[in-house]
Amino acid sequence: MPPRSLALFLLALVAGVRASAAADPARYMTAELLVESPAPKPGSTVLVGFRMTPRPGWHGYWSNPGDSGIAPSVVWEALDGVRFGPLMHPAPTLLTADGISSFVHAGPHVLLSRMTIPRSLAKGTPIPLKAKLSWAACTATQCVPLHATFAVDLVAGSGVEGPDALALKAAARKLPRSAAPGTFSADGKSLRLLVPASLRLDVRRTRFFPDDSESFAAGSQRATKAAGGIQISGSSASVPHASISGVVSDGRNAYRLAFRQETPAEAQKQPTSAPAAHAAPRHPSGKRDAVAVAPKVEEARPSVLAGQREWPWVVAPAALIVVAAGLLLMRRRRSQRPST
Amino acid sequence: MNRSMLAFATGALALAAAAPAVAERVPAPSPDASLEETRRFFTEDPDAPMIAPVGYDVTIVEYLDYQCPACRASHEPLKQLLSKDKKVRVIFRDWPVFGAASSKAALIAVASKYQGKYLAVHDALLTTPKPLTDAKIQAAVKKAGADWARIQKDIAAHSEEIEDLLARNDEQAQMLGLDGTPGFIIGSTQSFGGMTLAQFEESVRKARTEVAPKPKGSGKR
Repeated sequence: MPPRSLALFLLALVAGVRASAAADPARYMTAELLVESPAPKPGSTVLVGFRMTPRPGWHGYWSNPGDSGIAPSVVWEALDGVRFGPLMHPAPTLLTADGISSFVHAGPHVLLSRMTIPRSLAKGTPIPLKAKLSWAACTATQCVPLHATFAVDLVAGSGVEGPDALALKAAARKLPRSAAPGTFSADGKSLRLLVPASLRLDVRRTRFFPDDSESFAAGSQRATKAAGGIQISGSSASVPHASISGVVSDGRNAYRLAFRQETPAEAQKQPTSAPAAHAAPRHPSGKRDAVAVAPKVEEARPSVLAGQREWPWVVAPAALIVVAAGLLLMRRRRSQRPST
Repeated sequence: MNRSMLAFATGALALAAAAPAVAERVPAPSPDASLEETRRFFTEDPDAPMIAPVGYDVTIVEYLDYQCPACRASHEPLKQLLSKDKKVRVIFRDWPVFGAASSKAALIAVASKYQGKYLAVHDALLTTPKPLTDAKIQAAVKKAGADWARIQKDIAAHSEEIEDLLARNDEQAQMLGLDGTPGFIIGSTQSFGGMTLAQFEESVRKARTEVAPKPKGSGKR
């Protein structure tokens, strides 16, 4: 982050730009509301979402932020009967800094939700839609809470697609696909997940992102080839859970699945392998481009970490004098705390 | 890790042993206030939890949120600084900006000061796995050796004082133009963003060379 000039600092205070604690998303990560159709058809379900665009070096968080960070949250307001599904994220990437593992979106990404219009709504009925989004943008050294309220007027209609439809559909195709459950075995807090071979993930880049870091620790894990698929070794923060869910991704393909604890019979049938026994993993699909396509995980990390050693912006000592200039103004306006 | 943990715990003892605050809060400075008057507005606050070694000559004020990754990353370097440099005072200004869980954690941390456990609870909250839930906050309090029931009683008994402190922290962070966390004032210089041990040390060294006179700490705060 570049140093803030003293002039800007003074100006902001005197002009009263900072009327509340809310930071300007344009400086960190912008959000834009997208709707698939300006005239959704009664009885249909359409895509809505947010295009998130972080400034270089900044990242946002996945639904489970990992050891640290804050997941985005949204409050929708619409007519009675209009329903919204949960925010759906693309697969995250891993960011590790100072021993803290976070699940992040390091580049531009789209968060999706499904909006269902009640069948009873007559065509031509206005559907004013409001969304209050709260999210966090961070670098390795700075974290900024961001908030925005969006409003758009939809009208119940024929379901004609609007200009955002293409982007929303593309984002929907990037969502982790649902996959049949896998199994896991537990030995105390040690866990071994078996990702079915049918998912054809690249073992060298496969990583599991748990929905809940209690069930599967966010930190170190190891993927190795095993009989029946890919084995991911890790640990749970507490006693093993009955089921562990999340997303497995190799940076190219991502699947959402649950793992249930394997039965003793299954354990005997599929003995877990020592990593050395399968030291030369081959991409199951045999696709030649499997190596050439570097997953975004690896590309994104250097830029995210680049700011780590940067000296944070420092305002000259005189800035504290400058602060006084805005004091009277600020005191009259006791701020409201941002809400989620 | 262990050495700095020990130093932090020692700091906790110093805080617990500190006499009840006698100093008055410094009112908001007027536009023509001196740098020193302005600085004192941010640092002299009898209600703000702090580590104040006898004879400190530099003060660090930290604005932080328990869910902020960068705050968590700066926690260990700050502890290391305190274990190496025994003349640094640190004032912790809880500034929950990342939603309800952060506000809850800040409330619990501030309330734990009434039983002399702020630093232990602060440390436990910054090292507990995320996301912070009620159960995890409670587990952190237990790990810190603080009494949960007492915290609840103190929240009720001191609600106005706690709310005022958190509002003051919020107001100050905004005056400083902070968009997020962590924010620091070291000496008379403010900054936004986590620091490494080397950066803390460099900032403290610079603060010691500042021309503005710094009050000598009595250790009684």
